[in-house]
Amino acid sequence: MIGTDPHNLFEREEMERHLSRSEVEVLNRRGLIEPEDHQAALEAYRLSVDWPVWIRLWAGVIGAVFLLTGVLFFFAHNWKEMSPLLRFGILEGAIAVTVVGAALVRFRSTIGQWLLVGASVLTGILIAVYGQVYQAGADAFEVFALWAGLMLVWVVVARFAPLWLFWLMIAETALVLYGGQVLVPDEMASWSTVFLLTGAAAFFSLAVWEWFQKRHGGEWLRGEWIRVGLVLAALFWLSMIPWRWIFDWGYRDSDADLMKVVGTLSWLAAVVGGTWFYTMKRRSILGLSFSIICFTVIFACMTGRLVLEDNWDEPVGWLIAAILAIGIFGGATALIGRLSKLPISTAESSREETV
Amino acid sequence: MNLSKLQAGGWLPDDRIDEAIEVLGRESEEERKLPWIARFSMGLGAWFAGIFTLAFLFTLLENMDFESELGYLVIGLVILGIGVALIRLRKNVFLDQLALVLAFAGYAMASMGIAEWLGSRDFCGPMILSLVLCPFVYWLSGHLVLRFMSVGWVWFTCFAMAFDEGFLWLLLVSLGAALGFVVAGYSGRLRESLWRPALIATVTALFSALWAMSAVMNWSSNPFFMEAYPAISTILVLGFTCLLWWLERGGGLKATVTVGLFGLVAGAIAYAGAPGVAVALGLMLVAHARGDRWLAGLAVIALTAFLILFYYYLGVSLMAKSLWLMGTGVVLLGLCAASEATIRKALKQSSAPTDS
Repeated sequence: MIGTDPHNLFEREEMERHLSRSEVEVLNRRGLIEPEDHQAALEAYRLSVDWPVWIRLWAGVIGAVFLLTGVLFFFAHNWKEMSPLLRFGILEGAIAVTVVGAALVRFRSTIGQWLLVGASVLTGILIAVYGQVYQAGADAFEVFALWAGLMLVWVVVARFAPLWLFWLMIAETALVLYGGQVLVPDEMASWSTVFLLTGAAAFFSLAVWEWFQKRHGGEWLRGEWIRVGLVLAALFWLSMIPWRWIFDWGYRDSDADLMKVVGTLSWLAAVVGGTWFYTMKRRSILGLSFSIICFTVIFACMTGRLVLEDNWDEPVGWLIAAILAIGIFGGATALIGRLSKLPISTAESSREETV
Repeated sequence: MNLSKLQAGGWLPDDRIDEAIEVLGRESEEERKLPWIARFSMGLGAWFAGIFTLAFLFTLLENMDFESELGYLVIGLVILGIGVALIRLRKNVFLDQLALVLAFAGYAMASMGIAEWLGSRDFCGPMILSLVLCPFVYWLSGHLVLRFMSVGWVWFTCFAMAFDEGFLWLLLVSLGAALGFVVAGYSGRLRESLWRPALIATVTALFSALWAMSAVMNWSSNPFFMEAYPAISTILVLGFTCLLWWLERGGGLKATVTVGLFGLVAGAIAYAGAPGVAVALGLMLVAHARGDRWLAGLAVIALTAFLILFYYYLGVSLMAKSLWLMGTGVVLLGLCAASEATIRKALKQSSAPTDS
C-alpha cells in the first residue's frame, strides 16, 4: 500500500517539500538538471516566489510600526507646544480614524487588523497622556491594566495573532508591575511569589493557546512562532526564581523561604513537563529544545556557583566547572537530538489528521 | 517550487528523481543529524565551558609562574589543534562538545598570546593569526559551529582593528571583501552547503559592524564615522540592490524597474539617516527571493536593531524623523492593501473555472 509504506511516504513528502533557491542551484551544479535547462529551472523558481503574500505581510507589519513610531516621535517633538486639548484631540481623532478605517475595510482583513493594532497602541499613548496632563497619580500597573482592559474588545474582534500576543504582553507587564508596586512593598508577597504568579499566568495562556489553536476556528492563532513566544515568556518568568536564588542570595542561603522552594520546583516541573509535552504529546522541536536549554543554562550556572564558591582562585575549581559544563551542555545537545528523532505517537498523529 | 514542479516542467528527468532526493538529503545531512537548535545549544555550551577552561589554564599557568607570551601562543595552538582533531573523529555529541570547548579556548589563548608577544594593544596580532588559522580550521574541522566560529573570529578581529581612525583602508577592504563574499555566495556562484557557515558569519559580522559604527556615530559624534558611515552604507545598499537585481533579472524590464525603485527608496532611507534600516530591508528581500529562512530571521533582527538606533540618530530632527516614518508607514500600508487586492483577484481568477 502506497499510503503506509514509509519509503513512499518519505518520497512523497520530499517531492512536495518547498525548495529554496540554493537547493535548485545544487541540482544544477550536480548535473541533475541538464545544463541547457539551468536558467529555465531558476526562472521557474523565480516565478514561484510569492511576492504579493510576502509584501502583504511585511508591508503591513513595517508600515504599522513606522506609522505608530512616527506618531510617537511627533508627540515627543511637539509635546511642549501642544495644549492638552490638542493632544487629546489628535490622539482620540487618530483612534477614531483607525477604528472606523478598520470597520470600513472589514475588521478581519489584513489592513483592518493592522489598523486595530494601531488603535490599541494609540490607546496606551492616550492613557499615558491622560496621566501626565491630569497628574492622576496612578501607578504604572494601573496604566497597563487599564490599557489591557480597553483594548480587549479589539483583540476579540480582530482575531489577529500579533494583536493577541501584544495584549498578553501588556497584561503580563501589568501583573508583574502590580507585584513590584503593591504586593512586594506592602509585604503581601515575595518576589518569588510574584514571578510564580506571572509564570503561572503565562503557562495558563500557553495551555489555552495549545488547546484553542488545534480546534476548528482556531486557525488564525496557529504558528510555531507564537508557541515559541509563549514558551519563552512562561519559562522566563519562572526561571527568574532559581536565577535570583543562585545569584542574589546564594544557593546555600539558609533562609530559603517556602516560595523560593515552591517556585524552583514549579520551574523544574515546567521544564520537565514542557519537554515531555512537546516530545510525546505535541511534537515541537523548538518547544522541547527551549525547555531543555532553559534547564541546562540554570543548572550549569548553579553547579558553577557551587563549585567555584570557595575555589575561584584554584585551577581545580575551574577545571571541575568546565568538565561539568561540557557534560551538562553535551547531555542537553544529545537529548535534543534524540528526542527530536523519536517517532510521533500514534494518538497524536491520528488527532493531527482529524484536525 | 518543489521537486514535483521541476519534474512536471520537464527540467528534472523522471529517472533522476531518486538521485535528486538523495543529493538534497546529503546537502542537509547535518540538519537531519542534529537540528539547528541542538547545534545552538552546543555552541552556547562551548562559550560557557570555554570560559571556564580558559580560567583553568590561566590560573594553572599563573600558579606555575609561567610568564612566556610565546608559550601562551604555542599552548593555545596545541589546544586548538587537539580540538580540531577531536572534532574530526565525530564519535559522539560529548566528544564534539569537548572539541568545541578546546577549540574555543585554544583560539582565545593563542590570540591573547600573540597580542602579548607582539606587544601591541590592538587586534593586529589576533587578526593575522585568525586569518592564517581560518582556512585550516574551516577545511580540517568540517563542523558547522567551528566553521562559523573561525570565520566570525576573522571578521571580529578585522572590524575591531579597523575601528581605529588610522585604519580606514582596513575598514574599507574588510567591508568590501565581506560584501563581495556575500554577493558571490547568494548569487549562486558558491556552493552554499560548503560556504553556509561562512556566509551566515559574514552577514552577521557585516550587520554588527554597521550597528557598531552607527552607534559610535550616534552617541559620540565621531567625525571619522560621521564622514565614512553614510558612504559605506550607500555602497552596501547598492550591493544588496545589485544582488536582488541579479536574482530577479529574469523578470525583464518590469523587474529591473521595480528593483531600481527599491534601490531609490532604500537610498532615500539611507540619506534620511537610517542606512542600516535600508540595508536590512535589502537583506529581507534577498532572503525571500532565495527562500532562505535563516537569512530572513537575521534581516528581521537587524531591521529591529537599526530602527531602535534610528531613534537616537542626531543628524535629523525628531520632527523630520516623525514625518519620514509616518509617510513611509502610510505608503507601506497602501502597498499592503494593494497586495491584498492582488491576492484576492488572483484567488477569484483561480477559482473561476472550478465554479463554472
